[in-house]
Amino acid sequence: MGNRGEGVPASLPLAPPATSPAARVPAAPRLLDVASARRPTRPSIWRAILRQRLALTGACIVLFFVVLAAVGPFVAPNDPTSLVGVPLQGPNAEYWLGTDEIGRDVFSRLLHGARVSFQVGLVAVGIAGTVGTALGLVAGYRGGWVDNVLILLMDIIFAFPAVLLAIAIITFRGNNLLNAMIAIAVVFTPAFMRIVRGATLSVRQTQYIEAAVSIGTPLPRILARHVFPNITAPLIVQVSLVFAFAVLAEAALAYLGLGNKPPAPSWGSMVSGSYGSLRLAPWASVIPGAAIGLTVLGFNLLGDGLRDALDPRLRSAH
Amino acid sequence: MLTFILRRLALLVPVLLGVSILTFALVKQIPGDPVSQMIGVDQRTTPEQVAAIRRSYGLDQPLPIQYVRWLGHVAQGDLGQSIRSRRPVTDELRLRLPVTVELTLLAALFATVPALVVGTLAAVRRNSALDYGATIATLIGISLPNFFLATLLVLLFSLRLEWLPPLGYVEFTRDPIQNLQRMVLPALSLSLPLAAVLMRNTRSAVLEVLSQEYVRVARAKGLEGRSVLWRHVLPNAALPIATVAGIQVAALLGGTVIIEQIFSLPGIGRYIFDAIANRDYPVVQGVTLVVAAIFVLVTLVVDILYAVLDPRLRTAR
Repeated sequence: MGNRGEGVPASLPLAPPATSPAARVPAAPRLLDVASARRPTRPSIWRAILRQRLALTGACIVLFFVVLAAVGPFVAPNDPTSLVGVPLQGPNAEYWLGTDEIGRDVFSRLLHGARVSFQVGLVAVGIAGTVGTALGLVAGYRGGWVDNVLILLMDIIFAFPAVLLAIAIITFRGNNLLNAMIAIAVVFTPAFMRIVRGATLSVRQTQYIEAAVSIGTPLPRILARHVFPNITAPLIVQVSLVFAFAVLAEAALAYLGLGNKPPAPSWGSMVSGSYGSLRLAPWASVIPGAAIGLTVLGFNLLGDGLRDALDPRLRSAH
Repeated sequence: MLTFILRRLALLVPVLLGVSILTFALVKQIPGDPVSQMIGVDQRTTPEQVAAIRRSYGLDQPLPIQYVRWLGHVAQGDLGQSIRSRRPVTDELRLRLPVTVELTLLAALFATVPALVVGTLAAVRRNSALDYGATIATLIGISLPNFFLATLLVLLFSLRLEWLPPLGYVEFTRDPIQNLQRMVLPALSLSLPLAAVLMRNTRSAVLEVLSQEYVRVARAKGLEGRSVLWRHVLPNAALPIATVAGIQVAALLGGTVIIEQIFSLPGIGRYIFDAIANRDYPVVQGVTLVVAAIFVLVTLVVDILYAVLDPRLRTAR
């Protein structure tokens, strides 16, 4: 922050490093404290501890998932697409999670599937986050007709149920993993735009923005250097939550045979592929299904915990 | 009030137009030549024939004209016909929409009742064991994919316990009991995430009202907890809860694709599922457009009802 030059008052409120998010919204927590002091509620120490513990659990699950996605394909004992053993074996010493309906190793497929889920989540959230943030910054800062047009665009995409729009996009654009990523990105771009727009609206009112404008800072620089650093808290939370939905969406699409094409493994397609032999080999669908649920839960827990930690204004709402 | 409704109605037009443009634009995403993709042109078709087909579909016209023409057809209820069955998409939707609507409403019923009860209790007994339990349950609820839940339910009920007839569909008018028996599991699978969202929403709506001055006044004048809750808190929390519920239920309409396929229900989800495999473009396009339009209309009704029912908004607007 020192490089902003001396005598520029705008740099002062911009100073808080990422480690003290509370400093970014100095007014709000104090107001809440007054309100809660008057309200006869018990101190929520237990809730705070539980929330932290949940957030920590979420972080561990996410970390585990990331490691799995990174090294899984290298440590997988078998090829995920080749028929390695007798079909429908239960979990045993050789095939830890059993074999599926045509004799592929469920464990190896699970490891490879983790990478697909992670890849899709990463690319989709990356695209949606970048585009949504840019649009949200512009909409929130410029206001007026630009804002109206962008809100309209957002409302239009929101009108489509997420998975249905993704299905439609993939059906028409062609069924492959890239189009699945694009489809999921399109669906979730408004989620980022809405959050960033809202945060930008409140940052725009502050004096340091006024100061930056008054010394003639160009618009892109204001957005990048003054607005963006102050809206990262809600953005980080949103990244975690949308990642959860993206993994869920990829699983749903894969279940329908969209995206990563069989026989290449994807958690969603593993559930649907082995559904027919549910009675004989429940593990082959239940285990990948549980993997999806656990991963999504991890991102949701992390996102929720981050929201509590980074956004004191929302603390009372929980 | 009237100006609010009129303004809200005026907002409807650009959104619906946008929805239609986006749906129309889907066709333009088809890689390669749409004629050969859509009509299944084979080797024997001469370029002249392709050109004739192109002309007959109006594909030789500029895009805006194509769009206006298509919109004209849509406005008259003509969504084209299925490439596979050659049946008009509109006819098929008319048959299938009631199945999906029944499924959605049943899921809404399953979700709403526990969500309201648990959400209210969690707010009233904030920071109790029940509240923590509800928080965790909510997070699990929004994290489990509905097809995984459906798989577990099928595994538990129809295979292990052999309780319910697992698959198929019987019309409600023909045999209500059989109809409901077959609807229970799919509706349950759909209801969990909805219940989670609604419970979280109920909890924060009730908490919000609990922090209001008038609740403190009611307590201060000596009303006991229960009547404060029933007379002052719940009526005021009801509206925001109902708004979210309405919109969430409408959103569910498009989320039944996998569930209908698993339980062999002939709704619009199953329709689109079959269409994906056959690349039946008009079907995917038609279902997408109709579901989005329904969602937009339901949101409109919910918004207007909110304004009508909330006296504060009535005077403010």
